[in-house]
Order: sequence, then C-alpha cells, then structure tokens
Amino acid sequence: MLKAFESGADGVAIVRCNDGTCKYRGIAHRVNARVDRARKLISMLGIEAGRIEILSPVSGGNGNQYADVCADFTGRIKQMGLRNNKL
Amino acid sequence: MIIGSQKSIDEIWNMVQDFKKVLVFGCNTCVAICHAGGEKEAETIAALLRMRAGQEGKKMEVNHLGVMRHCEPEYFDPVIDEVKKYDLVLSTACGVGVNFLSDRTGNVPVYPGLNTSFYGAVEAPGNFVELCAGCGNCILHLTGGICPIARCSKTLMNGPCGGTNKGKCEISSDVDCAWYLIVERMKKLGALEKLSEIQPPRNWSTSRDGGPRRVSVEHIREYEKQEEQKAGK
Amino acid sequence: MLLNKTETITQPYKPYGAEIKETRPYSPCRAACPAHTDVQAYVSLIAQGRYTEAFEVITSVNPIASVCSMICHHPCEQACRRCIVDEPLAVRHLKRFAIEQSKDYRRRKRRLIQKTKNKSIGIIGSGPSGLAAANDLAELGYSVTIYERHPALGGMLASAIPPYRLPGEVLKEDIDDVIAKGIDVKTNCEIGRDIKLEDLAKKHDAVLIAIGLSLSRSLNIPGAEGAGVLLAIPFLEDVAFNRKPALGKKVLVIGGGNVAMDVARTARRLGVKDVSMVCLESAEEMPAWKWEVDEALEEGIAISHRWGPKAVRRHGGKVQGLEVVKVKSVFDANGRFNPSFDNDAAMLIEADTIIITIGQMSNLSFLKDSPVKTDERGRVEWNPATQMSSAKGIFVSGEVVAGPGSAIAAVASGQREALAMHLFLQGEAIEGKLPAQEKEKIAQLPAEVAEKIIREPRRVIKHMAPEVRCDTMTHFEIGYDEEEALKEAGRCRGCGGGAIVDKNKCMACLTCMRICPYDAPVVTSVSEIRPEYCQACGLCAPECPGEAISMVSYDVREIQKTLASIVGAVDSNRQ
Repeated sequence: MLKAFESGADGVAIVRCNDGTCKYRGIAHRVNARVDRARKLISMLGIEAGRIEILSPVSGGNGNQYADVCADFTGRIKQMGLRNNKL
Repeated sequence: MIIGSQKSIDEIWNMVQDFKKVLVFGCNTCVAICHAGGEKEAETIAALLRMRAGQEGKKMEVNHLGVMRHCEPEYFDPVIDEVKKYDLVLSTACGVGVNFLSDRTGNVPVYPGLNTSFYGAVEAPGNFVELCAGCGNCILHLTGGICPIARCSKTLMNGPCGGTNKGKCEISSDVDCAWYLIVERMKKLGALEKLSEIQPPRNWSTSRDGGPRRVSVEHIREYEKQEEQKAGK
Repeated sequence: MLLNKTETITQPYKPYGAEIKETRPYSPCRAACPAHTDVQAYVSLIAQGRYTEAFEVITSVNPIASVCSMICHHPCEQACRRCIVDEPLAVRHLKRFAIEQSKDYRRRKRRLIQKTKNKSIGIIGSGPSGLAAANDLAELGYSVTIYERHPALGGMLASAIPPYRLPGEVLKEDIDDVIAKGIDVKTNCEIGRDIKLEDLAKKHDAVLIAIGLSLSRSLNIPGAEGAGVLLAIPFLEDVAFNRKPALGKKVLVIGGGNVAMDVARTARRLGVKDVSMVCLESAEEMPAWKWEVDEALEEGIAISHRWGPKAVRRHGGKVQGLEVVKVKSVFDANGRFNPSFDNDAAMLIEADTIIITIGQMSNLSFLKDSPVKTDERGRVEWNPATQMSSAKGIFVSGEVVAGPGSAIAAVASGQREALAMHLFLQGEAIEGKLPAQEKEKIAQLPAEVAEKIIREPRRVIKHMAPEVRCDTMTHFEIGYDEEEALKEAGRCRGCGGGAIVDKNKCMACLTCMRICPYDAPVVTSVSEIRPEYCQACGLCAPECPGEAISMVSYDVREIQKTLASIVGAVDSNRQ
C-alpha cells in the first residue's frame, strides 16, 4: 500500500470479495487491521487516510458491482483531488 | 525480551533529513517480536522516509536491511561493509544495538529509530508489559514472583503506600498496585507471614547507581582467550 | 529430469516456486498424476486469467494435454482434498478451458528443434507413450522416426477412442505440436509386415517398442466364431476409419470395462436403438468408471450385471442371442479375478449382434525370431531398472509392459523411456538415474481445517441431452465458459502452494501462529508451517516481523515490484 503512494498513486483500493463469498472464512478483521495501520502511517505524512479504502461488492462475483464500487471510490478520490505533495 | 516502540516519523525525519544515503537497519530479535524494529518495520520506515523526502523536495536514497541481532558482531559482520557505504544508519534495534553497532561502523553515524522501553513479556498478542527492571539483585522469591522494583510505581520494598486503591495504583486506575498483587499472591501460596519480615534498605550499586555493568563468564572467556592466543601464534 | 553431461535442452516453462516445490511434498493432485502435472500451479494461473501460462504448465509435462483434457480419468480429482469438504475440483475440465483459450498461442509457438545429437531413434507406435517419448527425444535433439501401422497417428487415441469422447481435431492439435519439432512419420507401416525389426534396429541407434494392446481378446465359447459376433478393437477401428461395421437391430456388448462402454455408446450412435450390455460384475464391481456407466445409462443402454457368457445361440448361422449363467462371485478369497458360476441359473439375452469387449493384448508376432525375448506367457522380457528389453538398444514402453492403463500413465512411461534412451545413447548408466515415480504427498486435510472451509459445489459440466447426443458422433460435453472456469478455479485450496519459513530469518516470535486462521504454524526453535493445514491464504507472510515467510506459489513482493510501473503508467492529467 505504501509502495503505491510512494510511486505516486492518489488512492489505493484494496479490492476483495465480501465476507459471504471470501474463500477464507473470518479474515475480515485481519485485513481491516492491516489497512487501518497503513491509513495511520500515511496520515503521519499528512496524506488523507481516506485515500486507502477496502472495496468489496455487496454480493460478489458480479462484474458490474465491482465496477460500481470502483467507480464510487475513484469519485471520492477525485473529490479529494490530486496529492499535492507527489514525489 | 526488550520492548521498544517506534519514534514518530516527524522525529525520525528531523534526525535524518540532512543525509543523502540512509540505511534503515532492522534487528530481528526482541524488537521484531514486539513489531517495532524487525526487517519488516525497517522496510516500512524506509518507505515513509522516501515519501517524506519526496514531500520535502529532498533527494535522499533510503534502503532497508535486517539481521538477526545488532548486539552480537557475528550477525552483522557479513553486511558491515555494505552498511558502511551509507551516510547514516537508522537502527531500529534497541538502545543496546544502536550503541553496539555505532562502535563498529567507522565514520558512519548510527541513530535510533526506536525508543527502547523496558524488559517485557507478551501479555497478549500486541500487548507488552514491563515485569523486570534489571536491578541486579533479584528478590522475587520473597514477593510471590511479583517484582516491586519494576511494578510498584514507587519501588517500595515493604508493602503498599497510602495510594493503593481497590487493587489499583494512585497514578492511574489502569495500573495494578503491585503490593496488592503481592499480598493476594502470597495468600494463595500460604506464605503471607513471609511479608512481615522487614526488608532492609536496598543496595542500589548493582543497579544503575553503580555505573555501567558488565558480566563476565569465566569459563567462556578462558576458552576464548586460548583461541585468541592460538590464532596469535 | 536428471541430466549430467548433456545439458542442451531449452529449459521448459516453470511456474513460480517450481524449484521449492521439488523439495517439498507434492499436492495430492500432482502426486496422483502419473506425469506429475502441477495442477495447483495451473489452476491458480487460470484463476488469475493467465491462460497461456496455465497451458505452459500443463504441456511442460504432458504432450497430449488436449487429449487428456477430454478423456483423462483424472486421478488428480479423485485425490483432491476438497473431496472431504464437498466435491473435488473439476481439474480435467479446467485443463480443457485453459487449452481452448490457448489455441492460437500454441499454434504460433510450434518450432522445429535443431537435431544436435547426431543419433537416430525409431519408435514403433504413435500412441500416448510413443508420442511422449518422441516428444522428449526430439526436444533433446535426436532424429526421431515414428512408425505407425494405421493411416493416422495417435494409436488407440486415433483408432479406438470414439470421436464423441475425443474429437479428431483435438487429437490433431497435440500431434501437430509434437510433429512440428521435426519428427519423421511413417504411417501405414507395420513392423514385421513392411519392415523387419532387425532392419529397424540396424537403421536406428535405438528403438522403442510402444505398440500398446491392440488385439481384442475373444471368448472361447460355442458359437463365438462367425458372422454377427464382433471384437471391440476391430469394431472401433472400423468406426474410426469410416468403414461401416455390420450391426443388426439388437446389439449386445459383453464386458464391463471402459472399452465396453465406448463400444456400446458408439453402437448407439451408429443408429442402433437397442443396445444392452452384460458383465460378470455387479454395478459396484465393474471396472468402468462410474461416470461412464452413468452416461451410458442416460443414453438408454441397459446393463445386465453378474451374468457370465456360456454360448452364442445361433439359428441357421444367424445370431439369436447369448446364453448366460448367473455369477456367484467374481473375485476369490484373495481378491483375485476368478469368477464362479451357478450353472442352474441360466437365461438367454436376445441379440442379433454381439460385440466382445473383455480385454486386450499386444500383437507381438513381429518379435518371433528377433533378439527381443518373450517369456513363457508371451510377455516381453523387460528390465524396469533400464527400461530395456533383452536386446541392447531396444526399449519397451506403455501398456506392453505395464498392462492396461490410462493414456496419462502411458505418457509417463514414454517419458521415462525417453530419459533411459537418452542416457543409453550418451553412454551413461541408466540404472539408478530414473526418477522415483512415487512422490511424497501432503497428508489429508485435518478435520478441524475442513470444517473451516466454505462449502461451494463444483460447477456442473454440461452435456448434450442424451436424446440429442445419441444421434451424432459429435463430442457430447460442453466446455466451461470463462465465468464458470474462473469460479471453479477459485475453489482450489492451493495445496502445496502455501507458506514456507526461511529458517535463517525466523526468530520464533509466534506472530504467524497467532495470525493463522487454520492453526498451520507450529513454533519450536523456528516456525514450521504444516502444509496439510495451510490454505495458502497469505495472511502470515506480510505480518512476519522478520520477513521470514514467503509463499511457495506466488511472490508476495510481486505487486510491490510492479507497482511503480503500473502507477507510473497512469496518466496524471486524466482528471
């Protein structure tokens, strides 16, 4: 996640299945914890924590739903604007 | 083991900002176990520093590396030439490691990436607690295995102070009263009467008051000396 | 492969982690495959949409992959650890999908291989084992000539597997891959009839006999000789080479094996409405695969179980039916095939055509007076340690020495043979240099892990409706579409592709043990991640404070390495 920001990304989406369709049972809290850590780290550099999000479609497997949640996310990033402090 | 916690990125940045080539050097023993300074965390700090350098418009090369321990030369000897190529080493070992490495990097300064906190145990994954202060004169057999030096805020030796409050310390309701714990433990062990024996004032010369300490294990030293002599001939 | 002096092969495609996998127990699917196809690797590549790489993994060890994608009896699926969760992964059908997606890729990739070895090899027979040996030897730079008695290459695949199971164009893709390497082909050439074995042995530096079991066994019962009674292989060959076999209106197939199923189902497709089968075994005992039997039953083929043939009843030379007696038992107390009958319980099964499908044997008549010795039971004398016959330089592979088996087992046999021949031609000792066939494999899923795995049924493999498929020789099975394939590939639990610990970096901190949802790590002086527990989820690797954990089957750092170029490629002015 940090590498993406280091490379100049404006936002990072962690795209996963939803809890119902995930191949691995009961790992959501672990994924969330890792993502929260990354959010805290970028915050320390003054980058908005909201630039990292976990995206998962409501009931996985349907291509359009993935497209929709990704479109929503890029919309939110656009609202935040480009990172002004790029490499 | 030794517990440490990472310095803030601002503090680290203030230390390193004027260097051009920085190595974040992880230590994969104690401080790795407490998720503060292993190779993984060294990598994270290195990434944050590169980003910060970019934000500040500074040209800085930051890499990371990790070895098993910074407190024994055999572990870092194989990479010491590599380490010496940097302008600055930011060690994420404990203070012991920073000191020890610093003596062995020639002209390259070694700065600390962590605050070294205490000797602790893993109470629960991610939770580390201080249980020993390394005072050099252990009396745990007298106190039911609970150390009043490390765990009583006042380091009292003969029972609690007036600040004990329903098992908690007056400094914070999150801190247990060590003497409350000791009494409860001794009751359970059926050895409460042991506590009526008065402990004399402690001799602190075995602790920090006696200057830097050193332990020498004679039979290991003896062997080493002979090896050194042989090598000399 | 074990090669010493002669490192001239261009390295075959290796999936990520191939070297590490060789040092660890195989996934059960891979261990079960006679050619040790790395199923986990290619299924995972399919799941990632990397179809041509999946194709490379498959074909790196199997020159008849298209064929296997249609007809393999898939021991990998029977061994799949998902069996105890719900159903095995549809490995064969996924293989078919990957291969179908790689059609253009494979055609573009066909290349002539330089003949660097200055030695020539003659291969008798172009079935799976002959083709596999030809493929490997051509790859090694030998001049290879294949001798095939039929007009087309493929052995039984071309002459006895009916097209409704294996379409000719599918077989052709595999054969074209092999032949494109620069193999000389002599079809319509039968050894013993057109060329003598001795002449062949003089012409080539080494010879491989890979002729399979091409003769049908017959029954020694009254009435078996004469019109109206056919043998399986000639019947199937007639169909394969468009010679119409003479069938009546009521066909009875004797036998309960897979070839019997092929024969009965082929007869149905030749327009015979009334096809039935009779076999010694009960439904549970029959050697045919259950899915073959089920498909035959769907096609309206009746099976009479536990009846033994006694005589063919004829009237005026015309077949009227088969007299059968009740079977008391098929196997004796030692589990050996030794049927016993109750002669008081008899009946007549009416039929005007009877096809005998009770097993096959090799036609070894061309070995008469040759240096290749046969034993008292007519079998070729063969040394498994060298893969050679009693005649120096003449090797034997496939069903001739192994007995009836699967196509993929014949491939594996041909590959071993190729290695043995290579060693022989390079003047090296063969004994002790052939790799072990049995591989250590990962143990069964522990119950406590199995119960944590979400049930997800296998994607159904669609077939043409029975009434439609019986009217045609067209392949009856419908391939997965992309969505089905991706979902099915996602069911794989990644056995053997999971986490491993670098013992030099692990400091036994217990993080992996605490993080693992399946209790796979056991930490003593260092952590050991038990492969039978690990589900390759990858949670532990990024959490390891010492970066001591990596994944066998994928590079946890890969994304990190490629991110810069991906992000860099994005147009920052797009907004």
